[in-house]
Amino acid sequence: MKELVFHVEFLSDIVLPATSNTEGKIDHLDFIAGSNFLGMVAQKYDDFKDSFTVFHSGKVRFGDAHILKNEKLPTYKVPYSYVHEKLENERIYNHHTLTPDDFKTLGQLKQLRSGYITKEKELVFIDYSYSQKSAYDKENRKSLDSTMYGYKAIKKGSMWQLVVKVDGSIVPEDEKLMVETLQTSSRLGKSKSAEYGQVKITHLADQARENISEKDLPLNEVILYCNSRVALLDESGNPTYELKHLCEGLKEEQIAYEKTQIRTSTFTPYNTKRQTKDYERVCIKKGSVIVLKDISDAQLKQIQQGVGAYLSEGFGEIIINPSFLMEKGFTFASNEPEEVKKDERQKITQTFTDSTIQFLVNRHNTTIDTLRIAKNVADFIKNHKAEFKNINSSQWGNIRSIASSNQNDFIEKIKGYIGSGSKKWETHQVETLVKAMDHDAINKQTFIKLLAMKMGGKNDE
Amino acid sequence: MTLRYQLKFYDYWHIGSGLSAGARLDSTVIKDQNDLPYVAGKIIKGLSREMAETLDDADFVNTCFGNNGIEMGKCYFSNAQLLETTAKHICSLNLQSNLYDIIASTKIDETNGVAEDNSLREIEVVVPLELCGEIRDLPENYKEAMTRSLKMIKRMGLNRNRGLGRCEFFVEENQ
Repeated sequence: MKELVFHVEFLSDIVLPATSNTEGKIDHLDFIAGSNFLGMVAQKYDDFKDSFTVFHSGKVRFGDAHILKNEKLPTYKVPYSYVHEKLENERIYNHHTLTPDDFKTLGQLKQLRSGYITKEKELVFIDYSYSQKSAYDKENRKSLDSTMYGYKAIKKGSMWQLVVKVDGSIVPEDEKLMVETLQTSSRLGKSKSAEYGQVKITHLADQARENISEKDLPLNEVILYCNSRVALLDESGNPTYELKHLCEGLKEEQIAYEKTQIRTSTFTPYNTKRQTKDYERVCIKKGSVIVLKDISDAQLKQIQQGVGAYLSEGFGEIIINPSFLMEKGFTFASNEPEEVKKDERQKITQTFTDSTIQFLVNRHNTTIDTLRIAKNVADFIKNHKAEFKNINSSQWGNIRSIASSNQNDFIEKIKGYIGSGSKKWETHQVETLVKAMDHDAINKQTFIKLLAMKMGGKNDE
Repeated sequence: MTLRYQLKFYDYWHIGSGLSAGARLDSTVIKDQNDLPYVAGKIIKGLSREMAETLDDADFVNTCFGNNGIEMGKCYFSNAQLLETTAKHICSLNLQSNLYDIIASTKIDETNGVAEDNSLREIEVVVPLELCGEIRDLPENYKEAMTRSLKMIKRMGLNRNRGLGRCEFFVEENQ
């Protein structure tokens, strides 16, 4: 099948719930399900020459979109075979490569379940935002009681990769219309009429999908990695979790259950066109790892072509022997550390024509001044507290009162107050305080007021 | 068509995030990933719908805002955000913290006229700012009705009946 690669850029936050429930704890997807893209294209269902083949035959497969690391490197759901020693998460092991002796040595193992990895084993986590919402009570012009809910959304700005597989039998006109419809679609996910759900989809005509499959390995043990959810059906067409239905003729003894790591889920899809829920689906989750023994070339080929149901929606995509499942033990490639901005808090001397920026700069500079005064006051108290231990709180209160009087000669008045009176200050105390007042060049009045408040009297300790 | 507007706040305003900040704040405002405040598109949509319903034009309301689960509204309401150039300046100069203030309030005990015990609360507010936003996919024939609806919004956010959130919409003439 031909593979068409698209990039999906999030222009706003995107809400992707994993369930159609509207109450209770709602889990959220960490990928964009292929059904979203199928739905976008299906808006022009009647314009296709052969709609049935495009949407129902599995000959066009809208895959899941995965986040791109640094907007270019494809990622894969962390395989459930990745384990590490409990409390020791540096060294990662592939579960299916461990021997009975390894299990004895390593002790209790813990499975990794979240995040994505690149081919080079760099870990990527999806960044979410949360906001609280509520319905509106028009009568009383307030939030409607008992209607509070929250949206957890994938943050805007991230880039995702979508691959659509198209069979050779699809007519070029239909393929062209599909590409055009995807590229002109701009809404995705829940609540897409306001705030959320804006995307830009671009077809990369000359880009091929990354190949991570190591094909030249013997067939006596094949490792399957579920790059999408897998919905298996039994002989009667009923949903099942039994792995023997992966391909025709697969026997129980060919499945290495002791090396297989799968997780399962159920969900009920919602069909927007029909405005109703479909039948519940049972799925093997993305990231599951299945090990098969002694399978034939024909079986392998059948698995490569996609397994189970809902292939049009991207289900059943299996990668055989991916490179990241071949190593026994490894450590994740280290991500470049984020640059930590230093909070230097310097005054900004530049002037701006934008009144908002100038207002914020003025506020910023005022804060810097205040912090500097506070530091000067703290330094003064630290250095001279003992020197002024005989001064009463009431005297500091009077000094503060004079400083607050807003008179131009308040410094002279303070000098007069501390230089005379019933409790005459000692000469060295007067000199120290006067020197401090004269030394501080920012705002003498603020400095003295703050100092008088913070100094405390001899009875305060 | 796309209808672009400026949203000017004339007072402190508080569009809640639904989150508190421990002992420091009882309610924080919603911020984007650069710590800049914005008005969520859902709030603009909700308030303009409320005003639109007073215009007595059911077709306009149902087409643009949706019909209560029957039909999805045609319009897309973006968030109202700071102008891109202003936002870039603020981020480059690291001025975000200066966009916010804290307001404390209490409840008065009617029997004795003093503040009621344990009623002191503090909320974060944003200084008056000018934001811009847009309404996409608006049918051309509803431009005037949508403009009227927006202009009828005079205040928004928490405590908008008690001094916060006074605002005005200015729709750009050249769309």
